[in-house]
Amino acid sequence: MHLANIRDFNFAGWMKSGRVLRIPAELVLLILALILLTGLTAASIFIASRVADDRRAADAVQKASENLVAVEGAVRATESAQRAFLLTSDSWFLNAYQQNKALIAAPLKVVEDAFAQSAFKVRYFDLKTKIESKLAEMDETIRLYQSGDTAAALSLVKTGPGREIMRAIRADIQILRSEKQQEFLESQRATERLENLLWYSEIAGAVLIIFFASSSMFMLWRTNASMETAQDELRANNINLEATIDERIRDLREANEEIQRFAYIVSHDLRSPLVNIMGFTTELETLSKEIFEPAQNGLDVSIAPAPPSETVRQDFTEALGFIKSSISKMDRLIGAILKISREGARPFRAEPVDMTALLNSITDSMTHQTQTLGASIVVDPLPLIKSDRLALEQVFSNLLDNALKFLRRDTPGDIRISARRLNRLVEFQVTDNGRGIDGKDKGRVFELFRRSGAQDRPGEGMGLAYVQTLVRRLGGSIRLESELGKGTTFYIILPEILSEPVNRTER
Amino acid sequence: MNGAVKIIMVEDDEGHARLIEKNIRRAGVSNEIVHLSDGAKALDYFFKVMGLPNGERSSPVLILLDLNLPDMTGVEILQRLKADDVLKLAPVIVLTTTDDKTEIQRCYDLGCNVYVTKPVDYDNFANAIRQLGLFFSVIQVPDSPL
Repeated sequence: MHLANIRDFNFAGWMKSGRVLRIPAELVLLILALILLTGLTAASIFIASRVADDRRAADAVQKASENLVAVEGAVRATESAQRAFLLTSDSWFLNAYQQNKALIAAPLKVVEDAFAQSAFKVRYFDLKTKIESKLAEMDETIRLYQSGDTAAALSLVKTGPGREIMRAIRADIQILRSEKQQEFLESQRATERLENLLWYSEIAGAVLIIFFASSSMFMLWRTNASMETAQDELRANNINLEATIDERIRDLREANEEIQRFAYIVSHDLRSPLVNIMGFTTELETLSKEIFEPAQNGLDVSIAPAPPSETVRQDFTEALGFIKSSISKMDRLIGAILKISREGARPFRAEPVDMTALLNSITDSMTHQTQTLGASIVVDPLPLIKSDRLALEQVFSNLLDNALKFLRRDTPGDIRISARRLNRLVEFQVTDNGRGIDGKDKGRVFELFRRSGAQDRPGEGMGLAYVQTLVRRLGGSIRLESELGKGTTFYIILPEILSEPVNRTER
Repeated sequence: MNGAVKIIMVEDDEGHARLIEKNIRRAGVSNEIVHLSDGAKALDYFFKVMGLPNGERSSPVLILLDLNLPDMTGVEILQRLKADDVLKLAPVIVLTTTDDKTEIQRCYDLGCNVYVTKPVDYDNFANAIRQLGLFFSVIQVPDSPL
């Protein structure tokens, strides 16, 4: 969606329409990569805290183990002191007994704390009970000994459960120690497994991230490349377009100039007879006054003396004559203009035309004139071209007509038609040895109603303008070379094959 | 500089020439009018006929020039007239159908004296001829020498 302004965005409409926002794929990939990265980071932090926990657990296990050893040591030392006292009744050993007994409590407390959350809590309390009963037994022996019942004391030591309890205590402590160790190892292994998992996830994650990132970059690069290609194409198209536009502008300008020239010529040449009509109708007005109010003397001083009625009659006839001839001249001119513009609209039809045959048939149709004038027309072998037959006929008929019209008085007319190939064009030449055309008139002769040289031949000045129109529409061009008094050559270049647009009006 | 002044009319259209002639006469101007019907004939007359030694080159002329000649433009003739030492003195009245401003300007730039567009207002036209003639003794009003 292209929005000129965020305000233009019809939010409600968009929601209602349920249309999904077109998010580019690159963005999706980047978002996924970010999520992955966040996840991996969170997992890392989690593992790190677990490792810290493990370390603390290891410390705790170590402490518990040490304290268990301390407890065992203290209990045994107490037992040794007890035995020693019973044997020697040395009060030093009694002191030792008391001291060592006191040393049990503290480490035992630590152990108790360590096993508070353990699965082996029961076994611990079992141990504790055993220790307490062992201590109780030892206290009893001491008491018996101190109360004088040495025999009972000794027998208690020898036969009492004391020795068994002690062994059990030692075993229990061993077991507790190993169990605690086991617990710790389990936990450690779990952590290790997690660590491995994290390690693999991180590898996988890193690979995926790299993949997403590089895909995203690749897609961006590709988009960029395609944008650049599009821009290049656009640039090339623009240049092309500009060139085409320039050509069209040139064409239009040419066409416009031609229309201007045309309008100028038409307005002149049509206005001229109008001037006559206006002028002579005024004359008729004046004459009618003479006729109907002959009392006023005629003002014509330059006319030879004649009966006024005769003069008036002559003037009348003259005026009417001019009016009529002007009207028919206008008619002819308008007809010529229409003819030329109509020819600009007739659709051409391209067909293979044998030019030699065509020119020969034109020449044959002019036999009478050539014989009368003592002129000769020679047709060289001409190529075949694909073009509009009628137009070609008209072009060459006109040119040959002109050639015969403007011969030199003293020289027998010699007209030749030849051609040569230029790539995909054919250049026809119509050469004559007539009176020639002055250099300054080279362009003028092609203008409508314009002629050059001595005005001693009939014609309205339409032939070459007409020929030029036709030649242009056939996709060719015409020019002339001439030397006054020697002759003229017309060069007509035509395409070998008439191409579209065939209905194109005069350029 | 006395003597009959010729009015040289360079005009291809017979009807126009006739109308001009009639109206000049009607206005009382009785000088000789020479009618040349195209550019080639005009140049011939100006530079050959009038230029012959002991020819009429130095005799005064008033030139009426149509620009729309079949074989060349009147402007060409105007240029050639004004380029000649003697002929440039002859007053030129340009008579033509076009009222194109650039064309008018061009003629004045080249030195024509009056530019008249056809159809001609013959009263003014005759008047203009008379005015021009005053410093040139062109007009020969019957029985009234200047």
